[in-house]
Amino acid sequence: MLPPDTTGIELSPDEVARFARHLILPEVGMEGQKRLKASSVLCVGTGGLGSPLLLYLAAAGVGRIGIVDFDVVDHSNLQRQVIHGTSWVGKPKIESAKARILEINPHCQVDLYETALSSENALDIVHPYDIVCDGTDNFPTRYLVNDACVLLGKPNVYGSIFRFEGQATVFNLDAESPNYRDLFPEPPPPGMVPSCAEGGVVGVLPGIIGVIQATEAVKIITGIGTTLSGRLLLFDALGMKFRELKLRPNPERPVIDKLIDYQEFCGVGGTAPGQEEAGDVESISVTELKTLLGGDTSGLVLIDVRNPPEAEIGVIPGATLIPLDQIENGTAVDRIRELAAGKTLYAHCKLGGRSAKALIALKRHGIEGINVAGGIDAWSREVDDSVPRY
Amino acid sequence: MLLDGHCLIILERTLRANHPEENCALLIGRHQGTALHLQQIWPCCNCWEPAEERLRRFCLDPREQLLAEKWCRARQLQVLGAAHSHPGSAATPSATDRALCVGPTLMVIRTGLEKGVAALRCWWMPADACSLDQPRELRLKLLPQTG
Repeated sequence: MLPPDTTGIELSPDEVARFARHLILPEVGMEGQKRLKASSVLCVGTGGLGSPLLLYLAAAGVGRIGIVDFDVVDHSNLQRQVIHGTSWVGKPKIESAKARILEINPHCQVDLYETALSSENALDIVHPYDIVCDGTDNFPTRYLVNDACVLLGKPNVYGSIFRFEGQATVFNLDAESPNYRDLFPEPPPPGMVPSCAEGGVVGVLPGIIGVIQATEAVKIITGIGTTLSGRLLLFDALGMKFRELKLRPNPERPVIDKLIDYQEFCGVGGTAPGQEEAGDVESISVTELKTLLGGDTSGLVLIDVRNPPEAEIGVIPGATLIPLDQIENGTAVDRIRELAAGKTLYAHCKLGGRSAKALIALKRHGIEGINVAGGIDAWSREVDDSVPRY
Repeated sequence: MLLDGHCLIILERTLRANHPEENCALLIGRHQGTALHLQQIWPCCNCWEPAEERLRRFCLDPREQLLAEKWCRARQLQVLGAAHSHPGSAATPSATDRALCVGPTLMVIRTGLEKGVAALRCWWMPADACSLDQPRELRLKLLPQTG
């Protein structure tokens, strides 16, 4: 129920001191702060978006916070996942997040779910909470969160980020509100939208979008202001511009009446990131590639389809850099045909997904090749750890 | 609002393409001083549901708008606004048009009751649909053809 019922909710002297700057705001006051204390928010994902979201929900005085994440902290997270620290690398993100939340607000009840949200557990996990904040990074989970919120009647505070662009809105605020399926009725083809791991993201961006999500959650709980329900907020960090699109519920949209197999719905085989397309392409392992490169290489050519900034981080010796977009737009095809004439063509990228796409594109031009499974990431892990992972 | 002859032809044809349904498009260009220079037309499908109401209602697919925004950013252009047709009414923003647009923005309307350039009217829509500010009509100026 929103705003939450504040019957029996009292603020201790410590809480009054802690939230003084809220209490003196006419729009919040004692009743608004009690609503925050009485509220419960489930945050799915404790990464780039989840980090600022959780920090500010805890700081605002949300009484109960649930966190869903199965991942551990990695060095590459620390550029943007500001709730975690170096001392937590290798440890569960939910534990790291809980420790930081309680440091900010020891009055907060923190529930941990060290699991992937699935059709089997989503309704049980979401049910006890007033609001869900979506901080996930993949389409199957976004559709799952959306559908679970629709079935349970929970607002879904949505955020997404990529490179320098972000989006935020509130789905399913009430029965007449649009939901995620009104924006994206179908998922994109697998691999079409790179993850942050492949496409990159400027570290500050999830900080901005995550705080916008926290702001919307606070407004919904306290019942103040105008939410983003019915509007999609677009943020362009490079131009420092905000724009809005109207969102309308589609009266012809199929009714959501149960949870489904979202991996199947999104056409994802449940494989590791970057691997969705690789299944259709012949491949070799990095150890096999190492053996080939250690012998007579006159009969082979290895291309690297990553972007130039990635190649500055590290390379597989002997690879020729030809970015994927030059292959997909055709400008590099003749050059590759010439390089590969009379030779066996191998292609790699960071994780194996983009090189598979490159080979599929080259096949349309009559050029066959073999994918390096796992890409330079696997090369670094299994062959040469002097090549930096990123 | 400034535009050249080619742009005008594409805009007119787009806004007549699926008559008698309302047609729509995104308008792409740049702010040029106090004027808006319309440089590209991005035709869109009218995805208003239920479909039988498309004779008097239109809706742009948000995915189309996201794509256009991205395309524009890559070319230092802007989505200036949107155009749509009023097959059987005047080229003035209706109450629904005001309620559903996100201002401030450019709105171009083509009426089916006139022909040629006279059928088109351009409006600058205020920021807040509920405010007392009224849409402001902009003069449409044809630029000489270049190249």
